[in-house]
This record gives sequence, C-alpha cells and structure tokens, in this order.
Amino acid sequence: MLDVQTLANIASILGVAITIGGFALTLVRIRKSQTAVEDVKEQIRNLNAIQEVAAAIKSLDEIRKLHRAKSWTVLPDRYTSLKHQLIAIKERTSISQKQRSSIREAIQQLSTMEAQVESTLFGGTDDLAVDRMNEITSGLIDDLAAVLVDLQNEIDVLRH
Amino acid sequence: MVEEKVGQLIKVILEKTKAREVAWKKTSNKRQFLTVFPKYVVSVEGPDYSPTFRLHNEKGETIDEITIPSLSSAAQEELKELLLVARRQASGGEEAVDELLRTLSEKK
Repeated sequence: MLDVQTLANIASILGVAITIGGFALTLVRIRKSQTAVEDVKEQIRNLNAIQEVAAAIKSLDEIRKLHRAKSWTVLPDRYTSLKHQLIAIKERTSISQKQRSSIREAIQQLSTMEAQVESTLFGGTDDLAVDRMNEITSGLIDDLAAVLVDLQNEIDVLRH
Repeated sequence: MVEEKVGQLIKVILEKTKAREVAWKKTSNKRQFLTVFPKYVVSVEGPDYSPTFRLHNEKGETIDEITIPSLSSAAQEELKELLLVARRQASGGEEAVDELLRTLSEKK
C-alpha cells in the first residue's frame, strides 16, 4: 500500500509532467501559428511583387510602342520611371538571386537606352536603331515574364 | 592605383569569359555589351581599337569608367580582347562556331 506521502509525490511529479507537456504543446502551437503567419506574409509579398512585375512588363510594352512611333522626347522619362519601379521591386521583395539578376540587367539596359536617346536629343551622334532597341526590350519582357512565373510558382508552393 | 586594380579585374573577367563563366548580353547600343554580377554590372564599349570599360551600380549609374590610355599596355590588350570575346559571345557567334565544329567533326 502506498502511503499518503508517496501518493502526494507521485501527484506532484505528474502535475509537473502535465505542466511541461502542456507548455511544450503550447510552444508547438505558437510555432505553427508563427510559421503560418510568415507564410501568409510571404504570399502577400509575392502577390505585391507579381502586381509590380506585371506593371513593369506593361510599361516595357508601352516603351516598345513608343520606340516604333519614334517618340524620343517622351521616352527618357518613361525609362527613368520604369527604372524606379524596378529598383523598388528589387529592394522590397524577397526575390531570388536569379530574379534579382534579371531586374538588375533590365535597369542597366534601360540606362543604356536612356543615354542613347538623351545623346540623340541633345545633338549627339548616336543613331537610334528601333529594331535593336525593341529586340532588347522584348528580351527584357521575356525575362520579367519568367520572374512572374517563378513568383506565381512560389505562391503555389506556399499554398500547398 | 585604381587603374591597376581595374586592370586586374579586366584580366579576371576576360579569363572567366573565355571559360564561359561570365555571360555577356547585347544592348541597344550596338557597340556596347554588358554582364551582370551580384551588386554590380560591367559594360564594355567599342570601338575595337579603343574600348571603354565601365562599372555600374544597382541603379544603373556609372560609378567608374576606364579608357585605354589609362591602362598598362598588357591591360590595354586584354580590354581589346575582352570587347571582341564579349561581342562574339553576346551575338551568339561563339556558340555557332562551336556548334558547326561539333557537327563537322561528327560527320567525319
């Protein structure tokens, strides 16, 4: 027969074990909820990035049309505006190194176009080749479209 | 001092380009080619006899520009060669030559 003291000790040990178990369970629940919150935040960041990249693709498409129309005077502002959009995407979004590299290239290509157009507008000797400019612009659209697909895939992975 | 370091950088980029570890891209300027690194972009611009080497930051701004006269004679030759190799790689000429050589060697 167990005496009262032993029973009290066993009850005390069980109480501690239950408390620790409960605490561990709470920690696991908190951890799961934190992970879920982070996943949702990541999804929201990616959704915003998708919208911004889609807007950048639209701007590039407009630039391509402006090249065809040879609207050189309005183009420098368009290049600058789009560069700012791309810099913001690169700074704000948690994108991969490959995606970052595509955006960095786009920024530099736009800077080159801007320098060429400015040089021509202010009497430089650059001859602007619309076909080449649009070949580069189309390449940038393709690269950003690939970034868009990657971001969409990342959201799909987070959802499942 | 800066020119000496840029000379070393040109040499390394040339070696990496030959080893196809660096990929060059065409730009809207037919004489200019660029390659993207983490944080920086490098461009080279002709003419062939006197190329210019530029370093750009993430905003597309030029942060350093080196022309042929400021380089040592060895670095001058390396920069000229870099422009040629970059152009060949960016235009796909190098790939075409390799493919043709492969095809012709298979037919033997």
